[in-house]
Amino acid sequence: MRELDSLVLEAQAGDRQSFDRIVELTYADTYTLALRLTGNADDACDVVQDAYIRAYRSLSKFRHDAKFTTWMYRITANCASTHRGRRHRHRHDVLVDDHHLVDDRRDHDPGFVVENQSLRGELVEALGRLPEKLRAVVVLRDVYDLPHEAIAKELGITVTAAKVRLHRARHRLREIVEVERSEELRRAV
Amino acid sequence: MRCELAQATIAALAVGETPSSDRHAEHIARCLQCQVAVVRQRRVRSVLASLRDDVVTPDPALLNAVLNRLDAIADRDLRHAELVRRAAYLGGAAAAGGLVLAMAAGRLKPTAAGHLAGRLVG
Repeated sequence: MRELDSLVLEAQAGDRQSFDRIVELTYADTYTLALRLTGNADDACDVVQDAYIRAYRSLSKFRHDAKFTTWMYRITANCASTHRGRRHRHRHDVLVDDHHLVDDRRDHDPGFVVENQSLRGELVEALGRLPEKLRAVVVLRDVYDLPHEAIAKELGITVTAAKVRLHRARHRLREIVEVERSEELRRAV
Repeated sequence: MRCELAQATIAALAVGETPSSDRHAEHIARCLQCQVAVVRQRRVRSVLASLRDDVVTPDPALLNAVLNRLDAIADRDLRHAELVRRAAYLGGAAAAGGLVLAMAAGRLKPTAAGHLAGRLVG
């Protein structure tokens, strides 16, 4: 990552080729986050393009007090939020928490039956099924480890709202995974 | 105590936070189901964190699309800077021309024109 730090300094000094190289080194990572936030390849591509243009225009504001990749994650989260706002101008997700997806029967709880790899696949699928607003907070906090304050700022919500969404998102994620497992077990039996 | 009441404490323990309720923490310490829930949530968190290392390979056309848009932005910025420079030059030239005409018409003394020119330049 030292190469990235040097490139950022060169790009800040006006070297356009250095910025191009930064894009080459980081665009797959940025795309992965955009895809996780939007859940759609086309939207993710739009978000990535917007994110790099915003980064290019505001590169002078990057103070090196955080990693460049973290700064880029924040810009990407902000662009995804803006993109989502444009797409859903006449729609909104209702953050209801009244879907009781949990199978409470403890004897159906698969516990540690599955290996991490399987849990990984289930979580990726479950993330895709979360509403975008909930998915954004859980991806930014639990996958990319951004602080609550940064998440709130980039999504344009309060820190309290970000924490509430995170709580709901984790709850829904667990529900989805547990229901999937119960159904799988039922099918197997 | 019912396990459902200890859910917030289970979540706190799963992320390594100090539980806010001693009563719930005591329940969890005695309840196997709640302990399983803590371990399961920790595992979910750990797997979620590991997703960061899973990089999805984008369509190779994306890189070119980003670089092309950056080229377009850089070109536009250059053109804009050039326009601003020309506008400033033309504005200065027009003002200087106006001063010369005013002097020629005898409406402005050379000393006053010098002051005005100084202000324009400054």
